Amino acid sequence: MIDRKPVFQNAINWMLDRGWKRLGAKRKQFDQSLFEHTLIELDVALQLLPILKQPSHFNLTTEEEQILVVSLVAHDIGKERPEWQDYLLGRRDFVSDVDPELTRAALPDLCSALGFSGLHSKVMAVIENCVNLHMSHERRDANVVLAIFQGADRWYTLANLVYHIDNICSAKGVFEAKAAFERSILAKHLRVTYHQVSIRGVSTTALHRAALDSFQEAGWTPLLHFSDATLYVCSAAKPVLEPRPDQIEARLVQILKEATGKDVTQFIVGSPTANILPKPDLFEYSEILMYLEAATRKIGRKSFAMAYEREKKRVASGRPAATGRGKSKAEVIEDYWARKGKTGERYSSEMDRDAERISTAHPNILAFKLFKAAMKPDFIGDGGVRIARQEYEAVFGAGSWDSLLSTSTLMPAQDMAKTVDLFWQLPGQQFGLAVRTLEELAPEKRTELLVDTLAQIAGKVYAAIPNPPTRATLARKMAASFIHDLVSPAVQVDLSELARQQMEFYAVSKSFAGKQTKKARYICPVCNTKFEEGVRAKADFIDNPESHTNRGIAHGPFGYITLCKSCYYERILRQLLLGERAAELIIVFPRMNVGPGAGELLVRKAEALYNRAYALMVGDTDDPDRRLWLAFTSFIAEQMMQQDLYRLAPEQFVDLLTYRSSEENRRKNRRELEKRLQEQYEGNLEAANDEWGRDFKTWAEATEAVYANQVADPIARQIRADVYRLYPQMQLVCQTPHMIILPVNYTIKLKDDSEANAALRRTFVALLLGLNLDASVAIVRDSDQIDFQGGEGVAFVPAVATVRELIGSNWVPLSEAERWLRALGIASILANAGQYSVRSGLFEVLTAPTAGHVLRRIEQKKAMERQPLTYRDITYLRVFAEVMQR
Amino acid sequence: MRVPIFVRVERFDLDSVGSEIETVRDCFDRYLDSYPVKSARSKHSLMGPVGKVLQEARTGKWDAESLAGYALNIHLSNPKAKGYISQESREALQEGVERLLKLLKEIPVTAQDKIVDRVDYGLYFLRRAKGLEWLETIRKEFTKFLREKYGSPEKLAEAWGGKPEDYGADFAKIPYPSKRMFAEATSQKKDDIIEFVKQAELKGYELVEEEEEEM
Repeated sequence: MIDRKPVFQNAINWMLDRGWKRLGAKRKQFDQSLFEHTLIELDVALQLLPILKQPSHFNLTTEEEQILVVSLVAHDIGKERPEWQDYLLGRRDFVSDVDPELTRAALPDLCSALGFSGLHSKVMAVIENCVNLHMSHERRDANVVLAIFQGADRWYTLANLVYHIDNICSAKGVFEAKAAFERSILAKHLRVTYHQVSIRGVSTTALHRAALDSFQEAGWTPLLHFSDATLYVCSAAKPVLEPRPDQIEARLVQILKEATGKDVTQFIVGSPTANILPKPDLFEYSEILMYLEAATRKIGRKSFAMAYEREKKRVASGRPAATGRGKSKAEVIEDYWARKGKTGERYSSEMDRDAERISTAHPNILAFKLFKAAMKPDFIGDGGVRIARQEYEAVFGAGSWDSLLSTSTLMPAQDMAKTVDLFWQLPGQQFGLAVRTLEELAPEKRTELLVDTLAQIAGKVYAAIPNPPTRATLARKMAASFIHDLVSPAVQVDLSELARQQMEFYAVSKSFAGKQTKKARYICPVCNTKFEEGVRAKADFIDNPESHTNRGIAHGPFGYITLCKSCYYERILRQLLLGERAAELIIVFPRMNVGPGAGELLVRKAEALYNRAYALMVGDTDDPDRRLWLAFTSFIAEQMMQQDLYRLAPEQFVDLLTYRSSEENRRKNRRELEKRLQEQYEGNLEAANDEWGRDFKTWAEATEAVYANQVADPIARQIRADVYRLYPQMQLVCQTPHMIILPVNYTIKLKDDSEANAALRRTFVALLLGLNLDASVAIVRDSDQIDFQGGEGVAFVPAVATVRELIGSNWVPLSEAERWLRALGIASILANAGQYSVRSGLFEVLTAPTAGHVLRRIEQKKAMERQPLTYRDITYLRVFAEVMQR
Repeated sequence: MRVPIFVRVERFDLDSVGSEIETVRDCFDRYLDSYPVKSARSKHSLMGPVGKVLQEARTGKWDAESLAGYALNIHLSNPKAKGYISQESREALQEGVERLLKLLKEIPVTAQDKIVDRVDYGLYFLRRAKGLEWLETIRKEFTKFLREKYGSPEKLAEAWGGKPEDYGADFAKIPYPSKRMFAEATSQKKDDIIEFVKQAELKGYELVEEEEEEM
């Protein structure tokens, strides 16, 4: 029996040594390197062998298994010849991809590389026949007769297996692969099925995971993964059932529960002046205490008082009290006095005192606001509201609930009179405290007490109602939405009925776009599906929610667009995973298809790559000045020049993407770190040493240790993170090899980049990743629809007309990938050297008619600075001239 | 009713004459290999008579022989040429002029400036690159000479002064032995440059003065 892992790894090494990653195997329907193509076929064969070797199927011996493996790895060896590569690229007429002599010469080396050293010459003849007759156009009479004489045993069956596996793996998309399977000799032995999804984004990765797990649990073996589907097989002798959509949905709920189970406090507590609870879907009743605490931290205790003091000084110097359209602080206090039935002089000592009181009360006001939002009937039902009223009034007094409900967004005078004063006037005795009223307590203590009190009331309410708000509900709602993206297995729909409904919605949706009414019929502006009940878009999760679209009527008012629930949940999920709204998504998926073994490798590589990137982003290294920034294409290009991208380990690859802060910034950061550390410990090194369990003699020594991440104290680490801004700017969403997503919280562009320059930088990064991971990579904006499925090329070219015209297509094909990677990298370096415009320099270099034009520019700029042209400049220009053929 | 007339102007594809442009460049490049350049600092000087040829070719008033003669006259007027041009150079110059004028006749007038521009800057790049590569070759020879003589940057630092890191781990930071470097050098450093120049001349190298100024 063949040991799968070493065979797989040895085959990879053998192909890498022959440079197969740089050679093409497919170009007509989709791009695939010889390496990928062969690896996929080997992968599929290794998946199938455990079934095929069974006596009820082909009853393969170990020797026959080895023959099959060697034949599959070698079957396209003729494609490595330069003449065939020229044919593939359309530079010459047809030439066969079968080369018997080359096969004969390579087989001994391949067999030994795979560890199949015991194969004797007779077996080699069988392999040769399998390899040389795997293509139907090579099965001429003479060749077959020759093979019969040379070969023995079951060479024909084995050659057929090679032929059919080749056909299945060469199919474009899951349907063609399934059809190729059903036409093959494998169809009698194996049952085949598939799952397919409609690609949406981050949620698609979870849906793939749910489907894949469900199929595997049911006994299916995954054979080929596509970005939108997986092909599965099982033995026809022991058929198994397909999982039902509801089983996949149940699994999806579990996956989404894990994804949504993290700390979401930052999303829950919104703006004090707008919506305090912007994402009610994420609310989890058991976390109410955390939310209330977070709300009290949203606003400081001094801001109102400081603004009042500034205003007082302004008035004293004869300037107006209010600087904007809003009320002055004095007017706010007068409003408060009016509510309390008081009067007084402006800026008197009494007003000063109330300014201080209102200022101190702000964290309390926010706690009341959040509590009120959490006690809405939508959340807890009418029954819950009744209990809330009862419990609240039991603490704050009769009528206090109505007072609370009559408050709105942050209005200090009203909030003070209707909520805070009621709380502050409560007797200390009620809480077992030795003060007359709670107002006498220290502000921190008072806030803590309020938070506990409100949390207790909420706890009683949640305990008394049947379905308290929880994120588990959100996971279920999300799963119920996302399961509609599962195309197969799915409940059969009447296509003509579906089309009729879509037409009907399309016909009426125009008048509803930009409006939210109960009778509305919408077409989602993101995913184009029909729906009746959606979510009003907010800038929080989509760009320009108010901008008019031609999906609405051209006249009359236009409000906000409405998204379907699935698109809304998709965006919520992205925010949850990244911790904030993503600016761009880096999407990695197989160029066409990938076998389970190579898929696993892809996932492992992506994880290793991300782990290293994460360590750099959060400063889990001894050098926080080393940063990861994908837009610095010139730095990346300089480091990449001497490297073989195809053989770089993920960690080494990430190191190529890093840069080191300038000497000046390094010094500045170091000074800041020392200053912040001294401030934290009030200049007392002994206290710091006690906290850290260390024995530093000077602050410089201590700072050096903190800098190098050698002090494990969380406070010291937090200060280091703050000074060096060590926070993750990227996340990894990687469930299966179908689609790996890296949401990034910044746009991959330099500050003043034009659209064209930014598009070129994104293409460069996509090419880098695509070539290193052997995958297709697209970098798109968060609000863009993902409408590609694999097979298009190595890197997506953003939709900027001039850039697409320059590159010549929407995707950089494999045959052009290395050339464009070098061209973009070199152009970044030359744009800096020639001090081209910061806005469009990269584009200008790439469109320069000759390298001489760029050279002249560099020379002129250097002459102005009295710098000589160097040999290095010429080296770069030579590469530029070569790759751009100018 | 009159039949509407549609006019579609197709943009000339410059790449379609890429190989012809390259041939013209190569001819002029071969010619310039033996042209005694006055100073490598200016494009005008580096391109010699070819600059004038390209300028005049745009006017469309010249035939190949007259233009080649014009260029030859400029060549011979250069004092460094000492009134001489080899036969191969003359032939290369003439071939370049002929091919250039032929090419310009075959293409639309609107594309002529762009073609000449490509020849001009493409050639300039070739010449400039050759010059700097030549300097780099000599620099490497100089480095090799010092490595053989001193063996390590530490020993070189002892002889020349300074720190070993100024010269790089593998003498990689040693610059081209320029006139300025020679003028600023003292004692052993000066002696080493003199010794190297002698060896270089024995090997057939010619240390071009003007190019030295680049360094």
